[in-house]
Amino acid sequence: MTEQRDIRIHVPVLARVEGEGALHLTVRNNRIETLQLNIYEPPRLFEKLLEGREYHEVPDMVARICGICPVAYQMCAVTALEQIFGMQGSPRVQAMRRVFYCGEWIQSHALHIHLLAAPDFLGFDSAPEMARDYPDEVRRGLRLQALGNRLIALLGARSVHPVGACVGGFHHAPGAAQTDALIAELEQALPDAAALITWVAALDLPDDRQDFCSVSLRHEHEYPMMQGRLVSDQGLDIPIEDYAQHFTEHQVSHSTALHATLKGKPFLVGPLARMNLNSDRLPDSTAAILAQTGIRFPSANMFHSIVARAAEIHFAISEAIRLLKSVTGPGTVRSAVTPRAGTGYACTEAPRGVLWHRYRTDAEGNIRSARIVPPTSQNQARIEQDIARSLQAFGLDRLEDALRLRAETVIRNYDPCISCATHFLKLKVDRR
Amino acid sequence: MAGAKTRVAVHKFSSCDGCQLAFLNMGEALLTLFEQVELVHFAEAGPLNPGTVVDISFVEGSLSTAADLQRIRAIRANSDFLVTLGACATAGGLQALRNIADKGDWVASVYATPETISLLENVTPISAQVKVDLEIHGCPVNSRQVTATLRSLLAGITPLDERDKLCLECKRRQHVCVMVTQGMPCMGPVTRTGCGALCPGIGRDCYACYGAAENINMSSLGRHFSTLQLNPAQISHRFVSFNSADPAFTPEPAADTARDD
Amino acid sequence: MSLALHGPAAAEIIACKQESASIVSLTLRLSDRALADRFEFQPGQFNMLYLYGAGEIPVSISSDPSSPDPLVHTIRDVGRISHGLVRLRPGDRIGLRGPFGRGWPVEDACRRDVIVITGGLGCAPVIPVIDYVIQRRRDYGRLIIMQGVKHSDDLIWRARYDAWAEQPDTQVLLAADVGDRQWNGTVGPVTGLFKQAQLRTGNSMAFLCGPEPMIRACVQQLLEKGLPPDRIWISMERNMQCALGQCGHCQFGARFVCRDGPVFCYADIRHLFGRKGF
Ligand SMILES: Cc1cc2nc3c(=O)[nH]c(=O)nc-3n(C[C@H](O)[C@H](O)[C@H](O)COP(=O)(O)OP(=O)(O)OC[C@H]3O[C@@H](n4cnc5c(N)ncnc54)[C@H](O)[C@@H]3O)c2cc1C
Ligand code: SF4
Ligand code: SF4
Ligand code: SF4
Repeated sequence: MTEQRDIRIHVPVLARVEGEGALHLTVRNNRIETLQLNIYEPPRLFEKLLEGREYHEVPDMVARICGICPVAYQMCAVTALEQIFGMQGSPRVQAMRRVFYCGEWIQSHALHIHLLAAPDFLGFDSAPEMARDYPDEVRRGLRLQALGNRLIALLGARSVHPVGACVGGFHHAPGAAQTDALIAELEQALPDAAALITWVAALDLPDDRQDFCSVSLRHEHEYPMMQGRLVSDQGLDIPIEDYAQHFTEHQVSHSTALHATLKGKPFLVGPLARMNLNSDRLPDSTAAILAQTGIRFPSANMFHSIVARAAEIHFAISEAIRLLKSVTGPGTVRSAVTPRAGTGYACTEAPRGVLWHRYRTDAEGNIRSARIVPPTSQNQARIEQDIARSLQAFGLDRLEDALRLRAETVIRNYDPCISCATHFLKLKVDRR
Repeated sequence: MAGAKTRVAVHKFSSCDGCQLAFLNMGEALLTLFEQVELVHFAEAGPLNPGTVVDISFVEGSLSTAADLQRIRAIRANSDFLVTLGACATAGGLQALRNIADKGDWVASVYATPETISLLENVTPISAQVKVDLEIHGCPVNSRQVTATLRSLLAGITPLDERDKLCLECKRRQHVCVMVTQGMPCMGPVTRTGCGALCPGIGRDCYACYGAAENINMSSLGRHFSTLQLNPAQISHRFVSFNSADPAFTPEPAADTARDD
Repeated sequence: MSLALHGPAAAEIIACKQESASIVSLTLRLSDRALADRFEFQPGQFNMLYLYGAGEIPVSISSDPSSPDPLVHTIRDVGRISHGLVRLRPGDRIGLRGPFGRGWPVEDACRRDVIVITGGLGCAPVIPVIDYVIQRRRDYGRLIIMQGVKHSDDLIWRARYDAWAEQPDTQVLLAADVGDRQWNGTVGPVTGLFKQAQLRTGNSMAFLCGPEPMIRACVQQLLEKGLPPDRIWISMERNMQCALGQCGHCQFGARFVCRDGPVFCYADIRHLFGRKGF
């Protein structure tokens, strides 16, 4: 590059992400001067509005933090509150909760892969455009998404802000006929899910290896979802109650989402982090399909996130089939609750990664305080770091449009949920 | 509208994105939707043209910053028919609970440097700021509601404003009444129909996520709740939650109860 | 009873005819040819026409039952769904389920005189009866058709009335509350036509359809002229949702208009007919 080039790119609203945000990028003389993932969605202050509410209202209220992963919020809330009240779901209830959660992974991942991420890798601006050239792939994705939604609805009556779960278990058990019908559908969907893994692995994904720290839950024998310890690939191994002692959240002026760091450094949560730390916990059937793609986990290529998502869809379908066989039948799925004062914690793997809740209650079970750390605020610092490194590797001398698209692709690859992070994303790039 | 495809925009304000999913969760029917209308702006689905003139705008979310006010006015000016989508847009949503609290305190307790967060005094529903042609209620709204609205508009007829009480839908589905048989404080008698009577269908009491129905008698239901051993705070929580900025739900039923007793 | 489509089947509009300012006849054909081949209906039965996603309404079948493909529905633009239906164009699709209800007892009327009395668009469900009788002219006695409209402009199918009037032993009588200069029928309510009607109530059967006050007045006249209540048949209209006797919207006393009607024998409903609240 001989001449000095100052470029200003302004992307006011970032498309195909959940929530509203912008990216502000200043490139001067082929060096990134400022780079801000600017989350401007107004804060909704959920933690505060939970105060004074009764414990049984919490699952329905926290669901409204995110329309795409309400199950994750509900499951964290019931787990933390049950911990305070000295109870734990029966094995059947725990199986139901895991199935419920599987539905959300399937739904959320299928939506992200097909409607949000894949257009980037195939050269389209949007899923409707992509659907013209790839109708079968888009249909397959929409079918999988719908299947995940039906799985959620089996236990929760609807897929967005389901109404079935409560502190103590579930309001109802699914009927045997409906459950059997869904098991049959899930079995039929396995080939679709297998084909999906192969398809995303064959996409022209950028080969962008980076050094980052993966964080996720880890369980003794399961692929992690609702239980386990928090671990990282750099030696972290703590009980979930200790989260706040290791991870710090701080406010940055360009964002209404809090940034979280581990020992002062960015880290990654989400499907790739889970896969990097737990691929040995996948069922053989999923692992075998993955092995054929030639992609190995752990992987340092951030764009392998989409492959991790596809693999998790296959896993979640298999897991739901396995567990659903045991959830029907007579008997209650709801235990009586005796509220008491205390502090409870929960940490689960939302589709986008680690979600951490802490509640304090009074003796009647009313909420005294709540603290919620969603996955996207944990990833935010990591996304900024990734954009900088990716653009550097991509070449800052490229055309403005190409730079912007790459930056957006990087962001979308995280499936950031700005609503969760209580924020939204716009991209502003200034080159001066 | 004959000839050219109907132009549709989906906008978002402060919300959880759950109502937009009524579009994205249509399954394979989503492809039919893409064929039948021209989606001009729908950030989450891809197309970005926030400032263009359209036939129909769907708006999700409530207004909570000064920039929101400007944006909604522009959307109104650009839209032939404006539909609000869900509790956030029609009745403030859960976040409107902050209207009844001390905001400064709230922001400070969540954010370390609250000065950088600029919020309006109150979270407001869209109709408090601009004219709205149709309000679709629900938290979340479902695909059936948005499809019915779109199909009506495409057919050149007025979409139906569903205002019946949930109880009617509940009875039509032959659910056993959870209030009568189990003494649960069901909000069905004052809640708007549309969800499919989901909660009574699984044996739980409705918590009014669809907002207020027409011609409701809140104080009577509030009084009934007090006979079910709910204290005034619990009764007011029943009404003041997901649709707290809906004027139909604002009188304090608990206070009413106290006066009557 | 013939096959009834309980879920909506796609049907394509193949022709639209503007009958008057607010009335349109839609000719339509079931897209599934196998279904179309099996589709049969009785005179007086109705279909539920579904404007996709927006809603559906009951509409009588006004074409000839002996050729059920294509079907004709004549619709007056009065409200939400009917307004959408009259705006449809050839090639558009709607959903159709039916046929529903109990039609006219045309076979029981065999060898009797047939009296058809209609008001406004009430003629639509009775057209198939007239077609039926005319095709089997020798099996029936005298055919008397009495039709009333509010304004002479509202009279649709003028040519058909003229053609029927040419048939043997057939009397066609028309009345308009308000007639324009060309109007050569009676001016006044349809009851005014009774003076001219060559009624032989001893062996007749009457089929009535139209606004309820008009029907009440005509039934009164028929009874006075000696027609027994069990030979008076009335087609009733009620708001409907399911057309399957489930939802209760069209309940009429102990009966459902969709399932037990729309055609009722006056003898069965006279205790309710015309009473407020039913
Ligand atoms: C068995 C049967 C057969 C039928 N056959 C035919 C037929 O062959 N042809 C035909 O045209 N019709 C027929 N009808 C009648 C037809 O079904 C109704 O006209 C139709 O249901 C009206 O629905 P809509 O959505 O168009 O009107 P709606 O919007 O439901 O309105 C219905 C009536 O209510 C009035 N209305 C609407 N809203 C209001 C309001 N807010 N306040 C006061 N009044 C209001 C309208 O002006 C209209 O008169 C039949 C009905 C039945 C039961
Ligand atoms: S109304 Fe409910 S579902 Fe819709 S955006 Fe608001 S919080 Fe989400
Ligand atoms: S359960 Fe609730 S909605 Fe159903 S009838 Fe009873 S009060 Fe109404
Ligand atoms: S029953 Fe009530 S709370 Fe439950 S989904 Fe319907 S409106 Fe919402």
